[in-house]
Amino acid sequence: MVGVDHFVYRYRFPAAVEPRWKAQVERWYQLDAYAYGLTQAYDVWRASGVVDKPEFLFLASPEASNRTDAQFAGSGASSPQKFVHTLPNIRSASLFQVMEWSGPMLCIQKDPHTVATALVEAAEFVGAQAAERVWLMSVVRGRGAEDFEAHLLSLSRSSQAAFRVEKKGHSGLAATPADNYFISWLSSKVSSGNDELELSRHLKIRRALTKG
Amino acid sequence: MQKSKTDSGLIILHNIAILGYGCTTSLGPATADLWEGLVGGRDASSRFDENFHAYVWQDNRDLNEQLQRALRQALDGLDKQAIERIRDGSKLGVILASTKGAIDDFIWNASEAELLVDPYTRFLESFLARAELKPERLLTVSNACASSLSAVFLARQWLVNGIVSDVIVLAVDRVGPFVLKGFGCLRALTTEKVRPFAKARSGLRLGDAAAAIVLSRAQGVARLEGVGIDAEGISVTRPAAQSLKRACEKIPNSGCPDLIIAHGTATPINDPIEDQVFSALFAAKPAITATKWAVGHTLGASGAIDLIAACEAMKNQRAFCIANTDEVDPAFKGRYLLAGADVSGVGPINRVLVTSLGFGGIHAAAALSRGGTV
Repeated sequence: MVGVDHFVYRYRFPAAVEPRWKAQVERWYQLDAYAYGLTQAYDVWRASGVVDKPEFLFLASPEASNRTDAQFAGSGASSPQKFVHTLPNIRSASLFQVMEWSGPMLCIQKDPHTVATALVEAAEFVGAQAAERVWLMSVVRGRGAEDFEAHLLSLSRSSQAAFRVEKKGHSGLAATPADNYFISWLSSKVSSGNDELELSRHLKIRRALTKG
Repeated sequence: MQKSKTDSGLIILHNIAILGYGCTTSLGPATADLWEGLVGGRDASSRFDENFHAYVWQDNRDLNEQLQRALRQALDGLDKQAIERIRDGSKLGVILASTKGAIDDFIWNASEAELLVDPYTRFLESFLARAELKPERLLTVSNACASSLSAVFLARQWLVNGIVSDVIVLAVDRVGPFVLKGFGCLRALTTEKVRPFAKARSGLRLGDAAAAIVLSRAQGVARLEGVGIDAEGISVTRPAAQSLKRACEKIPNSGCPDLIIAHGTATPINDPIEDQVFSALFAAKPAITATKWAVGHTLGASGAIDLIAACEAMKNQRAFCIANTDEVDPAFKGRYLLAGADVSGVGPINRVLVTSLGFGGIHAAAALSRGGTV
């Protein structure tokens, strides 16, 4: 059993005010929406005292860096500031500067199931005791063109976490949730009657308030 | 040999091996072309349009076809049992390592629907359909130019944890207008020869490559001793010595290798970092070489190409020179195999270290040793 706590930070980009961490990130104003969001979200969570740093980090990037890639291509493909963000792992660089953290990181892609896929990997790391605490971070677009959400799933062996990843009672085919649905399910605070989702052939996630 | 401890305290030994491998590069469509080109000092990255700064496949630009070719080589020579396991798929994992995949196919006039899906998954699924593989587990690792070694790291985890019996790491990147213009923006390209670790180094060239590596919990042609990855955030494009050093130190039993195949991009920034780390870690000064002078920087596939070169070096018991580098940077302390060096003194080659550095502060290292019994 792996405990999972979920945090979400909703923001608009471009940012209207300078961030608190601007002195820590060189040319912070050149960050794309995703890099900015991960970094700002961490700063907010840190200030709230809700997060302990991980030993391993997974980055799940639905749509990869497509939006930033399109901006680079659409602007004449001549901007080095835009080009350096055209890799889905790049958005972690500013985050790590503000976290003052270094460690192993894997950027995972498998649209449209990128977040659930990465969660399976992260859960198996904790389950196999390859790490005590693993983070899974992701940024997705919100409703409007300027709306974004940064998500953090913090995994550990805690039995007090809001969600639990557990082995299924059977190893049948899995209906791995698509990112939009999965994130919505994680974010909903009340039970909708569907308190358990399959993640893979062997794993499921459920809200901790329900019985297994 | 990897060790893990069970809850009861038992130590379990893991033998993670490379069973087979194959690649296509600018040196040619087969692994033999890569090896013969490296030992023969053939600079395939020289064959390019002077305005293009990069070598691309001349005959066939199709990523799927190039990767199929690499896979066929990797599977060729596997024993019947391994082939049956892989074809069955129920205990097979597949990881794609790539930086931009097939980005040029859609990004210049991308529709909203095209932007909704990463550029890797569609390609991977079409590749697997054509290869008639149905893996139990598949995904893409995109860790910039350290993607291949990062994929091998994850493959090792899957094998050690018994999630699958075999993993095929596929690595491919294609030089197109997107990456070419991008690297041009960064002023990282050179129209001269690529000279890793040279006093006169002036930057990199890009190159197409496709590679396939089959890993398993079995005896194989080479043993994967370990992989270390470390990411930090000092800079997006500048590597960090401490991070690379940590990646190297994460490999168990990290004694001095007989040969190092460095990332060696020949940029002003990359090469000093690697020299600093190798000198700090290995007082015995192992021989250091690199491949990008011959095939260009193959981006997400570069680590896989270097792993294959490492396997070939151990198989043939022969190192290869950095054929374009006559004079090493005088500030460097490492022992580089320069052009014309006598490589007969390098050996026996029982252990090779491969390093990869990527944008975003990602650093990776992998150690291979000669195959054989556990």
